[in-house]
Amino acid sequence: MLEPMMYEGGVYKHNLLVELVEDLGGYILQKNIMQTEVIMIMLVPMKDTHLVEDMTKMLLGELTRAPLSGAEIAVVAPTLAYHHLPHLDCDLAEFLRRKGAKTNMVGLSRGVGSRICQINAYERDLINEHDLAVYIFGNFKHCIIESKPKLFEGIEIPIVVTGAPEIASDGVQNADVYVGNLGRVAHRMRKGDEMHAMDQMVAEVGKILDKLREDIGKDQQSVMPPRVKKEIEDQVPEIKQVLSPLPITLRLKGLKVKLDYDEFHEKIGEVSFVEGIKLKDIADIRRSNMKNFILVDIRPKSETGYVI
Amino acid sequence: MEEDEKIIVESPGEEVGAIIYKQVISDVLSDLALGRVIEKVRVYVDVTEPVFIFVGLRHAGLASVHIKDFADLETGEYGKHQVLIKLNKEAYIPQLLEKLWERYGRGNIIHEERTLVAVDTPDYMDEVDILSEMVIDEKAGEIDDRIVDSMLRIIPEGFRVRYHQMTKEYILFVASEDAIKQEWKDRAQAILDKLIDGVSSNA
Repeated sequence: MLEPMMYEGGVYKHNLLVELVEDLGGYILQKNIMQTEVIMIMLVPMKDTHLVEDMTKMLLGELTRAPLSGAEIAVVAPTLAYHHLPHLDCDLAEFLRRKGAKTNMVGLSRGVGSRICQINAYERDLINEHDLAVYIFGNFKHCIIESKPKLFEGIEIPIVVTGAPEIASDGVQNADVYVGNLGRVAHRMRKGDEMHAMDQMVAEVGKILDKLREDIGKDQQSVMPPRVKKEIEDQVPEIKQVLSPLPITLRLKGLKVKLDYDEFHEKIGEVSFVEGIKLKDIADIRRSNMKNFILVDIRPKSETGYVI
Repeated sequence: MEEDEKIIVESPGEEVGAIIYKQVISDVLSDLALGRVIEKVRVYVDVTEPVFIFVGLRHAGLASVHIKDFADLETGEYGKHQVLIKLNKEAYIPQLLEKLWERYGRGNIIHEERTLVAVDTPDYMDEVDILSEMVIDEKAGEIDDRIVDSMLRIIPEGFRVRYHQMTKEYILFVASEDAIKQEWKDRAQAILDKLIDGVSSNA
């Protein structure tokens, strides 16, 4: 079992940690260097976490658990207007990222209003590419319960809804969980109860992701996504030219490769493993709705018959 | 006293929504530095209708700034067709030059000393009077813009059908998703009348 962890510390000698994690058979999922600071999200074999902790102490860094690592989460707002941004939406997305998730903000084109709100096919497909969707709604109970569930039509991934009023956690139709005390506000979320509500939201998201991982674990994936990421990085040099912060994004069921589909999907399919298996044999490679990227869905053992 | 509260949001059946909305309004007003411009705010929201009514009383605004408020004007030396503007305050120089350039052309404005602007014009006798009354900075107009901006930020985004009145004394906004009904306008008017009554009886 691999433990998701986040390292925050200085750039100086952080390579020692990278090498240690790789030597232990773990993976570096994300490395952001900001001037003299570095933030790394990594997967570490559970029985070796103490070694990583010792190294972190030596480097005077900080190590925290990042329970949402390896998941891609859609943060869905009715629109991207100043009614929702930057406060609340960005704050929530930031909070999810701090726990290791990769978030994408989705602003619907016609998500506003109660009677008039709607979602279109493209937006639906885009949201369905994620592992989980967090819908951010407003201050009125009637609106959240009666009108907004229209926006969940056709969404196949788990849905977490946030809003201001007190509603039972299963009180919103077709949503998995509702988290209260997170309504539409025009200031930065930093008061005690607001932070508490966001912690609660993250906890709920974590619970759902744990359940999803458990479900995936029942029928194991033919190969672990972080391993595919490593192989793509080694075998497709063009990925190094990609300027996105996370050229290969991990999803629970596979990964998203931020290269043009038409040009690179065959090359990605040809990525091979030492066992003599090619990626296209154990994964579906399809087009993403997001900027023509490549989506890789790894097939489970029940379909391929083996795990590498 | 309830009447003395600055912002009151009323929403039948949505107590939490009303409390949060009050916070939104006070955040938006303070973001746009309108806290002292708007005296009292009464909001009525009914999401089942749906309708959003906003009524606000305004403080008397700031007067416009004329050139004569911050400068002395006189005609130029004998034989020169000029108006001289001697500035007592430098704060308005950018707006002043902008207006002068627009009216007389850049070539006719001579601004060699910091506090002295000379305007070349053949009708200098008349222009002295016209210039002294010229409005340089219109605070009221800018505040109106900010108030409209704040309204658009406060009302729920989906409520795109709007009815409004804006005078120097008050602002009244009714917004909804559907066509505005007469009863909503009447309700807004009643809220406004009550607010004005309350203020005048206190005074």
